[in-house]
Amino acid sequence: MYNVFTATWMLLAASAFARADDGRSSIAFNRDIRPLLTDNCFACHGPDSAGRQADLRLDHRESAIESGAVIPGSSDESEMIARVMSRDPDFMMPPPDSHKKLEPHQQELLRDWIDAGAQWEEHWAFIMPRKAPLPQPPGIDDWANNPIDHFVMEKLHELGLQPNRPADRYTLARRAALDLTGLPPVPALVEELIEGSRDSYSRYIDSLLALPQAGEHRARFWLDAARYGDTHGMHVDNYREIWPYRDWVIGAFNANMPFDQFVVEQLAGDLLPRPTLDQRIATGFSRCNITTSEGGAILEELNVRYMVDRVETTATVFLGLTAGCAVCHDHKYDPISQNEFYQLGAFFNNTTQPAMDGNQRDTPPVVTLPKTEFEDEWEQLMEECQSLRRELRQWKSGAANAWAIREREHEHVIGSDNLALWMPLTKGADDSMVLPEGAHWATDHPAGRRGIRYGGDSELSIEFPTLRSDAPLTVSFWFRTPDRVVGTTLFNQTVTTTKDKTVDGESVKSEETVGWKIESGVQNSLTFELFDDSGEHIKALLPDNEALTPRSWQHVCVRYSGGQSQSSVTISVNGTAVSLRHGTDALVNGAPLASAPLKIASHLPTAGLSDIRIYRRWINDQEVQLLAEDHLVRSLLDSDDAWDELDARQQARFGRYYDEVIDENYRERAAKLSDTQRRRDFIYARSTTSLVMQDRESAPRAWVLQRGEYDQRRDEVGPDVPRVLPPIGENDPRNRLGLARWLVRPGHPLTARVTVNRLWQSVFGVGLVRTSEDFGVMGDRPSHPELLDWLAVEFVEKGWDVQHILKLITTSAMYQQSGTVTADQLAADPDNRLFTRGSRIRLAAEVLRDQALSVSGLLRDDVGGPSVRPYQPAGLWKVVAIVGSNTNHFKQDSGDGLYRRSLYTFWKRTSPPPSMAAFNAPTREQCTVRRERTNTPLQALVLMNDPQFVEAARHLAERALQRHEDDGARAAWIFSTVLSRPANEAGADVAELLAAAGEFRDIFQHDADSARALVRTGDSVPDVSLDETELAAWTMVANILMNRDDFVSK
Amino acid sequence: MNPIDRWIELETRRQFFGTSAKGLGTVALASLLGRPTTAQATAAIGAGHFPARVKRVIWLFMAGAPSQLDTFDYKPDLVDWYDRDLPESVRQGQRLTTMTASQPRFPIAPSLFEFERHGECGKYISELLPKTGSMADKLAFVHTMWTEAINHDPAITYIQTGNQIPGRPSLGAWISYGLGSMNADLPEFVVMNCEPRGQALYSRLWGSGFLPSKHAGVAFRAQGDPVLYLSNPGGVSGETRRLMLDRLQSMNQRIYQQVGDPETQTRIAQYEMAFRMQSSVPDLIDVTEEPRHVLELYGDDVHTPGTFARNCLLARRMAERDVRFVQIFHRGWDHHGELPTNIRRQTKEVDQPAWALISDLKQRGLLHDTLVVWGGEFGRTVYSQGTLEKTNYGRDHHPKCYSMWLAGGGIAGGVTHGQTDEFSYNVVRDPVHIRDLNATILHLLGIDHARFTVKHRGLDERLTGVQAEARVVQEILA
Repeated sequence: MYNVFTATWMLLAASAFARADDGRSSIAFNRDIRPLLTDNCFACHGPDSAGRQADLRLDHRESAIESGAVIPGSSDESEMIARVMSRDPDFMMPPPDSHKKLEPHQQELLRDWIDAGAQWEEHWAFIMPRKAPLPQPPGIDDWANNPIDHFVMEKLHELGLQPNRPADRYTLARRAALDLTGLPPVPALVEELIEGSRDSYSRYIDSLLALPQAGEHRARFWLDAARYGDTHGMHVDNYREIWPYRDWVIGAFNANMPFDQFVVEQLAGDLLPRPTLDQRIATGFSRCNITTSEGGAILEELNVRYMVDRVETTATVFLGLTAGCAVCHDHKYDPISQNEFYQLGAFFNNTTQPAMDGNQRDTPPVVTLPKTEFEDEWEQLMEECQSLRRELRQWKSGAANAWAIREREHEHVIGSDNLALWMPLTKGADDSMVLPEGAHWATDHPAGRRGIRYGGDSELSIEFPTLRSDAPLTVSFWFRTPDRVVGTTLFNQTVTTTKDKTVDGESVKSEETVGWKIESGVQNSLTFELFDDSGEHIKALLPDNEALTPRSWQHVCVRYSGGQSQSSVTISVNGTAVSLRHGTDALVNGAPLASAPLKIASHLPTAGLSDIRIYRRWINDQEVQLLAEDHLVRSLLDSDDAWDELDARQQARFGRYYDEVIDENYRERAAKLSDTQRRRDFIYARSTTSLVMQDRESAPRAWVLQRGEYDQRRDEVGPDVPRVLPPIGENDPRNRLGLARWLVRPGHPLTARVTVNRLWQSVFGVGLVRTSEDFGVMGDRPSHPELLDWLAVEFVEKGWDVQHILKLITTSAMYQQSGTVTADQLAADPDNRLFTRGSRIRLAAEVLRDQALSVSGLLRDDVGGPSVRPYQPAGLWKVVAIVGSNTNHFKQDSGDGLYRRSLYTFWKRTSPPPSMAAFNAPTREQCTVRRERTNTPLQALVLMNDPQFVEAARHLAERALQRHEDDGARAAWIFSTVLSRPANEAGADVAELLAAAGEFRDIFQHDADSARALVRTGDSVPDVSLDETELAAWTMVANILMNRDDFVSK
Repeated sequence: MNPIDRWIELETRRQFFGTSAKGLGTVALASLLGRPTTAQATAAIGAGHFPARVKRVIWLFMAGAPSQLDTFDYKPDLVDWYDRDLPESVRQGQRLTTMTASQPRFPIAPSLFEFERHGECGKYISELLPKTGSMADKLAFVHTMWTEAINHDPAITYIQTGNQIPGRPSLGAWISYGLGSMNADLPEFVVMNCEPRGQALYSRLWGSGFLPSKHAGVAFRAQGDPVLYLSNPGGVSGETRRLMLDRLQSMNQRIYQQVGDPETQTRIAQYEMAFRMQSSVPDLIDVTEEPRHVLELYGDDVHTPGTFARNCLLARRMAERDVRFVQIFHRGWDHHGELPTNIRRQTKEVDQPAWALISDLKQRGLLHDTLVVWGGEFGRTVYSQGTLEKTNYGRDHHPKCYSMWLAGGGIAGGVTHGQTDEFSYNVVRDPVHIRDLNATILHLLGIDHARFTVKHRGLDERLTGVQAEARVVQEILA
């Protein structure tokens, strides 16, 4: 038994000895002096060059000595001491206005340290870890299972504490299963453990680690760090598809992928030689940051934000450093300069990713995972496109030679193939045309007197072939946005019929439209819509805030490849494709569209149209550009200049014209490429995609930003790592691959330490370093520094073997202790940082839900796949989402989707899953490596009332009633199922449950409606053969057990 | 260890040794969100840095950014500028959102609405806000609010959390952390969202960032349970729940006897608190006992849950129950186009209820120690976005100046602070950054924003930014 008196005496004795012995040599810089300097001095005399006062820095010995602040061996002559001891407000340090103060004993400590020679040490975390010899405290041989125990016992011994007795095997079985798989144990495994021999526990741990659920559980922690979510996270917060990355993480943990490889593939899988699809998917790690597509946002500002987030995440997750402070200025405490921050930034600043995410699921770059039936075709298409593109890129254009005879080329029409309709609507060409009432020839077209300006409604109706939803269509036109604030209808070939439908047994009339149309909104938005004959519909929108220029002519080209999907539509304005917003992932069938006349300009008051061309093919980007610059091409052809006298733009323009319009060989190849568009769009829209990293070909670089502001560029910097850490490998490239290899190179002091610390934290709720996100000088020092270092070295020596470390932890004697605690233990070790007892903490959000589903028998065990939408109170998404967001309306899954493990729950970042948020799940808007663990009434409400938990209780009750007739047996069975231990030693609890069952039965017997309502909670249908009163009563019994303290804790 | 946790720990241990386990339970029982009732003992800065002028804050947040030109910032001379271009000398190359950056011209759109003088102060207020006008002498107007952010998501995150990038605690969370709770039955920070319309909201706007999550705002809902998962499942009455809890608590007591983990005692207390909330929250939102003349004060909308009017009434009921910080988000103020139509609807929804709230608080003697704030995340441009017509125009985002009002304890009524140029484009005198507003709110609560810091990742974080300057707007204080 721990003795308070002895421990206190020993502590006093230890310090007394230290003083008596030498009084000086025992001062350790990192332990005794650095904290004083950090708290009181570094803000002005530390690493931050801009904030530094009097050009004095105390984080470097040379600088401190050179300045005279510190004179080793002579505190009386050291200015630091004179200042520290002074009471003169103008002279004293720290200065009065800093609100900081050194206590007399701290002042003495500084004095002693200087007198002893003023030794500096590097901050502990920057020194390479080494394995210290294993301590051999008395009694260790009787207790220790492995080296962890030696370090733990050493500390207990120092403090005169004793470990707890071992936990009973049922408790241990449950604890280990929850820690390693996030689920309660399978009864069969527990039986093996209980009945097995001495080494059966080790085999039990191996069995747990081998379960696919172990990888899922491990992935859950990682996804917090990676800030994984299923939406973009800002503004519209639309769906983002990146779950294949989540599945990659699960797979990597289940394969026990060496952690160094795990790091390299996530940070730089795409840069490995001939990367596999999986290695590219792994780079989703750096694509999990939140992004936006808010209209009006400034691109460079966004790019800087994304880069900063990637640096902060990488630094936090792998280095355990809070690099973020160095965005605006040199770090105040840690040796990371502002320059170095942006050098790290350069590694990530070379992406091909657009600043605006487009509110689409597949913001490029992405990898495509086609459905099985399309895999071969997709590969063929990709190869064909690649070879055609290469051919066209290397095409020797005949444009220069053709320039001399350009006059002959005047007659060619841009894009004449498959031109179904051409209406120039140009005065001159259409002189015979009778203008509709109120209309007049336009005078403000940039190409001169072209186009018609309309008055009121003046519809032009022409015969037009019936199109198909699986065939391409291009509509090119000049559009003068209206003077008035009105919506307009430009093209419309639709048929609307009224059909009788039966809704809820009642016959109602409903309108169904088939066909296509192009409209513009009051604020000059533009939409293309296509309605198939089955009620499905796609809509491509150029939204208000990215809209067409008001009261101006512009060339618009809408292309639909026939790929039967929203993503098959491109809209270009003045020759350039614009990003479309609010895209759904809707698909349409392949069928004929409307057999109807095409109506043009049916409602265009004060707006104008000109040069309408409709093609029954998908024209390519160059052709779109040529159509937009047709008038410029024409005037270029009239030029008298020789080829050499043309400027580059003019040469390019004629080059385009020659290749695309005149050169038949080129046109044939280009058409072939265009013909692949329909199938590519079709297969792509039906594929899974995943966001990945891809670099531009140029060398990575970044700019140091004044105060971190995107438009305040200072010096350009290349990619590099902070000087305080070992240099990047000489043979490693200066890109993300070099950075990744550097993180896991031998001799790196941080990555292994930070990683084993998080593994430790995942088991005990707190790491050996409490601040698992901050190993810098402001972070906590490790509780057991030598243990941390031993584990870090062991981790690397054993090939970065994650499961090895987890097995070491869970098979240690320390881990296997009982979780009971006495008042004395609580006083000596309130937070169990000394490991005087087994870990007994509240389970995490995901584990709580998964455990409930598991014991009730509802849990699905399939691994991976798209995220699911289990129960959540209605209206939560709608109340925050913008209208038009595709995560505005929460549509709950039915069936299996309700009962999957929680790491598959759809994570909308602006409104995270509420039952998990109540239990401290983060929003995943930024990297989180440490969750809080609170205990609140809102949590009690979730566990008592969330339909997910109520349904689980009912399902558990059903199983009890199906298995056992006898109340006692029912109570015992439920007890042992919920708590994974037999009920035979829990007589009082079982008696309590029986009494409760009786009470509930009384209530429900007199209230059949309530019984029925309770057992109908949730989507699954209760067993109709069971008596509802009985089921309701036992549901409440299960509800009690599933709220018990020892169910909620491990 | 932060001071709160240390106190709880010490207190827990004292109780542990000093009294029976039951005694410990009582301490924990008194907490709502894991915290004892005595606010000053548990809060990070106790009673504050200096005497507070107000005990609580009600913030009427106009999400989407109302046009200052059509509400409070009266610019009569703009009529002469109709459809003329905004002079380049005014814009000074200032950055525009990419929505209007490509516009060929920037035609000035004078407000379509008449402004009238109100009260003894003679404040000009738009005809859209007659009730607000009638209480002009109680309000302090700031015409020179400004921010750096020009898009909704970063801007609203900025004013709510002091930073454009997600991850920081919201104002309400800071206040909860700093001052603790004044009541045992309800959260100290409540958020109410009105009908979804226009721009998005984000749960981070009332999040706790790096502060303990118990300081996050609790979002009361108009639909379903007012607080998530508050209601028992169908078929479970209060009596059934009580029976279930009695059995549960008895079992948990037994676990505590066997294991000795104080966390078990806290859990027992939290379940009791949950049970109490099952009656205190429904009681709070039940307005059926409100007299007719009070309901009439707030207007017809008050009968519909989720409206701004109903939420204002609930805010008053929360003020009575000493909920410290209430924030109502009224959405739909992002008027890029068709501003006149849209703003008529918006102002109609907020004008009377805001007036009613102030009057009701006043009548009940609550206004003198309650601060009420009205405003959005930025302002809107004097020039029209899209097409300008005599009776129709739109306005783009404008961060350089916009208007807000404050009322209640410590506020000087009838004051107008700050002056904008004739286009309400630039600040001529007395700029008030959104940080200054937050510093002022904290000041009225007795908190010095500069000293109200939390160590996080090596920085002394504060609501008003680690390094930025902020000043209390003394000019609007009584």
